[in-house]
Amino acid sequence: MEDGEDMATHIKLLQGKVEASPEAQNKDVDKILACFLGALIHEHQKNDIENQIASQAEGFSDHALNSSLLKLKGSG
Amino acid sequence: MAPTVKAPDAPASMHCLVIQLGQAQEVLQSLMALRAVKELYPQIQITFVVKESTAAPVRRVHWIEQIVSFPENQIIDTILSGQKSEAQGLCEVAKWLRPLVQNTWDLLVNWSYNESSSFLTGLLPARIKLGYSRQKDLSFANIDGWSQFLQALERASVSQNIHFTDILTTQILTVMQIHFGEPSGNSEVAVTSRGFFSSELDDLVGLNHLAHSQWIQRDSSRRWLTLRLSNKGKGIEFWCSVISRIFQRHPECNLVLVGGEDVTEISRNFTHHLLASSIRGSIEERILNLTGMTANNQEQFDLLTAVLGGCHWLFCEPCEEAHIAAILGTRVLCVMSDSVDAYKQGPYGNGHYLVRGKTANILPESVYGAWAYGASEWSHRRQTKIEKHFSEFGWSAELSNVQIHRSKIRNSDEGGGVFYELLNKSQMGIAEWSTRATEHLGRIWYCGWAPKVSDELSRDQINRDLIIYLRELKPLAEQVRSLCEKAESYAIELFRATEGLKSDRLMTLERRQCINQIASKMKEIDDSIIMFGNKGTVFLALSSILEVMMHNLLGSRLRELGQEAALAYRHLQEGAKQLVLYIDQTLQVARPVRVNEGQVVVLETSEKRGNV
Repeated sequence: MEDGEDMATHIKLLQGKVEASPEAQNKDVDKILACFLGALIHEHQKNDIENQIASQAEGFSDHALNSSLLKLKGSG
Repeated sequence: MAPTVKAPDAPASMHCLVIQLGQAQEVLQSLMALRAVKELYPQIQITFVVKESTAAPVRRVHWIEQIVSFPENQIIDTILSGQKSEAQGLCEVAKWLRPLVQNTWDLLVNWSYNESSSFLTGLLPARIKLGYSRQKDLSFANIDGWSQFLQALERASVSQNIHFTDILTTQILTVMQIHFGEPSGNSEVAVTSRGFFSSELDDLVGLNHLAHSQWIQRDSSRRWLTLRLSNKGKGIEFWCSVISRIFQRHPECNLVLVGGEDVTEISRNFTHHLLASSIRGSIEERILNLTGMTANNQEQFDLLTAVLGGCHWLFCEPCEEAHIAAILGTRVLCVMSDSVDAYKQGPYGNGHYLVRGKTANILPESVYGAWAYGASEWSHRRQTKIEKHFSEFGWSAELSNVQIHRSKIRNSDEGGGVFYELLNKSQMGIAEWSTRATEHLGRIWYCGWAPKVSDELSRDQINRDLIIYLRELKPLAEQVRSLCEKAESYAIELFRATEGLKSDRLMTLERRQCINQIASKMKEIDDSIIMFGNKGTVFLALSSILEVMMHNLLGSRLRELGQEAALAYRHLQEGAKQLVLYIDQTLQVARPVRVNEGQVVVLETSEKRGNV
């Protein structure tokens, strides 16, 4: 599971399952997974920074800062 | 008599995957929406995807068939700390994902509204998808109306007054009704209830937890209130002042303090502060400090639900505990800056109070006064105006600087959903009117029905400035409607001009010129509509929706794009038409009303009094 071969096996298994769905054909599973993981890491880091800012803020915190809801910068 | 079209019968079982990788409050709001779905479609089988850190509430909902939690500590934190490479992380993600691709889902609902979840939604096979997703080329896709509406308003920073929980509920129920038929369950069951989460206090008996035993051994004959402390916001002096007023005037009330580990020090300071106040009797006996609990931890979440469920009121600023209390049917008094969107972060249900205003303007007197009014509703039955209630305390000035709202769930024949009724009637500004108008558009577009303007707006709320603004706005709205009408006709022209075209690249020169001309006219109109965004918040909403809809056209050929664009412009045209009507109806409410002679009360003039 730790080496590249196992990763290829996992991706291949997923690819097989995903391709079984006609609407999902031609999708590069590994590419989508990499995007998913990259976006998760980015959001995780962003939340950490926002929480730090919020906890340092005096008076009312702007709760819009804490809510990542619907923010989709850089997409599309 | 026209034949009636019968909706299909709901299938025996439906597999629904819900992705909620957002924060705790969004998880709780999703659960509330799903509860309504489960009541109406009991045969639905729900699999819930959630981050491990926010999974605790989901594990206590017995009607969720399967929970797939994403171990962010195990995957993300280890990558960020350098313990694992991204390739290793990718492998773990692939392994984690495998159970989700075993079946093709009947319905996939992505309620996370973030970028990461859109990739997950794009990857997983499903018959119907709602929310953010990805197209085959990995470009962003957002197909359903409600999600487009939410995205458009968020990117334009425009507010509206439909509660987020209501949007989620309406979004999924509409799709269920269209694709799976009429509901077979009970639509009269309340969504909030003390039995929402399956953990009862008895389940916690084995819990070796000091806080648990303290809560068990409390004097249950007392009236318990909860205060959710926070390391930001109004601060302990403010809350001390509120609580000391309650303790002085309501000897039957006790207080339990809750909050995460980050507020344990604050809670001690709070208690010291309160002890130093001049309240008669022993204060220590009236306070129970249970801080150090977070909803992230399963045991602590269970205890937190027991505490919140066992109290009469929760005092807080926007936080996840407000949603837990609302789910459990405990009343919430939430102090909220007016920069916070109440319809996203406010507690759902009947009888919650929001005290809103500019930070410095919200005083302990305003909060105590609002709570005292809410807590004594049983006696005055809301026949006493809140202004009179405050004037009896001598706090009319304190009231004038804040807005006090009370939540109410409308009857279904009034449009349904929660709304925050403003109790201290003040005149409505342009911003508030625009928020209501945007709500109206959302309801008309995606619910097909909206309450009458006169039902929720009274004449005394409309001032001269608003009337002048609306009179100026109306011709602009008519212009936008007319632009959309033109754009629709150009889009239809594009559809016709591309008829029989075998390729979008190879065509005669004349046809290319014709198509180019139509396209440039459409572009001109798009630019004009977007320019209108500078002329008012409602136009900003309309132009943002246009951009979102245009981005999400699905067609790959010019002809398909022409057809889809025509529908998008018609949608916008309907919105602009409704906006004109909404302006008219508001002005109608503001119009002077003829008074019958019999109803006139003649007041004595000074001249008459002089004669006497």
